[in-house]
Amino acid sequence: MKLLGILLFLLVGCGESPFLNDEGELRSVQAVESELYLKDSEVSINTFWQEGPYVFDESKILIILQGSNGTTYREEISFKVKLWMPGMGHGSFPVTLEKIADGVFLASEVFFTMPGYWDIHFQVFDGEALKEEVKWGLEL
Amino acid sequence: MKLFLGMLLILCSVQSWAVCDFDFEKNKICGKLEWIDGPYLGEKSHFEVKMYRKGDLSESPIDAQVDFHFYAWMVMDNGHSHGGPKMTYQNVRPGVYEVRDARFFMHGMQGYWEIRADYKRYGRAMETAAVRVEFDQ
Repeated sequence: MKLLGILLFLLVGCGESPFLNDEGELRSVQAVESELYLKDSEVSINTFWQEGPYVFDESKILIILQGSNGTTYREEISFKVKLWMPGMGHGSFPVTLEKIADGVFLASEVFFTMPGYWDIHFQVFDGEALKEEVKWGLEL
Repeated sequence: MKLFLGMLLILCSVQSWAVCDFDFEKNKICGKLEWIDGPYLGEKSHFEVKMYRKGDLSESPIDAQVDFHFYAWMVMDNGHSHGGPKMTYQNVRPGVYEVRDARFFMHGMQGYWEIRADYKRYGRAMETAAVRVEFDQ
């Protein structure tokens, strides 16, 4: 009887592992903090906090641009990041954007200078003209 | 002659007291600010501050028992004053503090920037002094 109980438990109790698909291949846990989409450029923006987010101290964000084919975005793009606090009507120190590889950028000197609601603007430019942008809002 | 020397001494003392960017009145300390590079808006600025006892004509650097904490402060017209991007400061010589990464910006703000210094003794902030930052327009 005990043996039957144990066998029953093994049969019913063990569900499929959430980390294995049908082929038994390991799937990664979703690490993307936020996914944003630039419609005209057909670019997805994936963001990862390298440091922070902090108030007053420097935060850093790794930004990966993904094209419609699912790979990192390889086309030339004039891409900028801007901080704005809509409730206070002001921004912050200019963000430094460094291109690490095709479609991969590191945003540093990201300074949230007070607690509250901030918008991080991801902007695409055509020359000097703003072509499109998308915002990521966060409360600090 | 004595009168002349006396007047000269008084004038020098007054001068010593007059040139005091960071004025710690209660603790009788004076801080002299020197811009190495800047100040700028939207770029890093670099400055040094020399701290000495008020009235000390030789401006001998202050002793090691005290410490200072430097930070940027935005005095806003709308009353919502707040701090700025964190500054890294180092005690580069006795009584001399250096900041290489002061960051100021306006970006829509109405007000003015100050550099503030907290005078600390044994880790405790005793007094604060401030210098308004003026930018070339």
